[in-house]
Amino acid sequence: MKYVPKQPEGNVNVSEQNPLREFFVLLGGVLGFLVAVYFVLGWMVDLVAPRISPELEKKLGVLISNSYLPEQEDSSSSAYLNTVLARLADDRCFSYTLPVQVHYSSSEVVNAFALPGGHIVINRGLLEKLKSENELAFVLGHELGHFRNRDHLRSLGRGLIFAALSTLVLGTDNSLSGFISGSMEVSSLSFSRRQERAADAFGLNVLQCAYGQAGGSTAFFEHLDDQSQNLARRYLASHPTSPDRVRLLKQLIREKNFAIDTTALIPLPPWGE
Amino acid sequence: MDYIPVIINLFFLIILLALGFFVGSWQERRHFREIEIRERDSLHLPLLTAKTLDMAPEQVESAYLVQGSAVISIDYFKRLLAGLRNLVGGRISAYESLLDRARREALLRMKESAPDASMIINVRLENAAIGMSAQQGNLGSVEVLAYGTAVKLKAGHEIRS
Repeated sequence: MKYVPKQPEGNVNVSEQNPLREFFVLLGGVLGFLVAVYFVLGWMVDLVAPRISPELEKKLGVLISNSYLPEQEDSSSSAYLNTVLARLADDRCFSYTLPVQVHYSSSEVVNAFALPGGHIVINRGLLEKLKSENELAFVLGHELGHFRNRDHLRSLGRGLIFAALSTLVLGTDNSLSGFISGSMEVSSLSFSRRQERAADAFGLNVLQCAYGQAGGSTAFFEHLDDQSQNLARRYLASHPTSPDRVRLLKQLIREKNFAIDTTALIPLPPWGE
Repeated sequence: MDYIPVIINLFFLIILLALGFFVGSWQERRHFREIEIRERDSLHLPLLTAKTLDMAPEQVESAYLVQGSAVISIDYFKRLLAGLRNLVGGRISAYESLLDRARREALLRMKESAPDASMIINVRLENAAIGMSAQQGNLGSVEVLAYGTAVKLKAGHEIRS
């Protein structure tokens, strides 16, 4: 037997494939599939959300809202906010399957949000921007509009789907988990612009119904324009721009012949201690 | 409610991916070039997988164990690429080149540890996944161990090539 030294040509053990191309094809395919699944499930959430019973929403509220509710509530500010809310939600102007409640939070971020279980949270940062009770009533009416349209349950459902999909693909222990939980918080509390416009229109109706006039509805957005601070801009990032909203509100006031009496605006008490 | 940590995380992910891709593929190309040169240089030493050779004992001067092992790590880009491939199935080319490098490097080191041998018989390859992520079921680094019996023939009995 004779040994013939020979080096093989080429490499049969490694596939000839451009790794960058493979990466983008796979990434695009997987992301595309997930986006499609997300939209289909989101559509199903929109079907289910209006049919959620008050009992189930109450249970969801206990499970989910508690982590967002402020720990210590300022009693006098909370009591005042709830009297304003009671004037709006008196069954004549607004009624919901669950009793609604508003919570005062000392956070300086300009924000207010609706949570499952009939909870509204208003941050001090937003309250400081308001100049009258009528403006406050409009903000509360806006959040009541989210309840009426079940936006809070829809966004909760979408947030859960997003979290479930990302855990399914990436696992719970992944370098991307921080990224996902960050986006999860953003997506679970924000609504689409269409939903915001519908809530604005609803808030306007509630304000007119409870106070007999629509004064104060546009003032909040106009203050924000005057002093467009950093915090306010962040809050508005998920919302339509202020001039758009003011234009829409003024158009609705004209169409429905709502009265505006700026001399009859009710002043606000000081917030917190 | 803040996008900034999301953007920072995404930024670091892209940095790591770029680092893995550019440095990883540069190193791989360099390693393959080096392997080919060394393979050509060590071509004179035959490797056999046969356990025994029909040979008179007086022909053999010495026989001893030789081994060579190589540990090669996967880069960040390939790890993510393989993770994506795991979802849909198919050939994981990212791992193929990794294992090919480790196998050939281990064989070369084994050969280089027996410069005066006439041949190495009973050559075997073993591999293992090692590193922290091996316990979690992921491939972190791969070790390939090549071992065999180096045989040195007495003068006048060599196999001529």
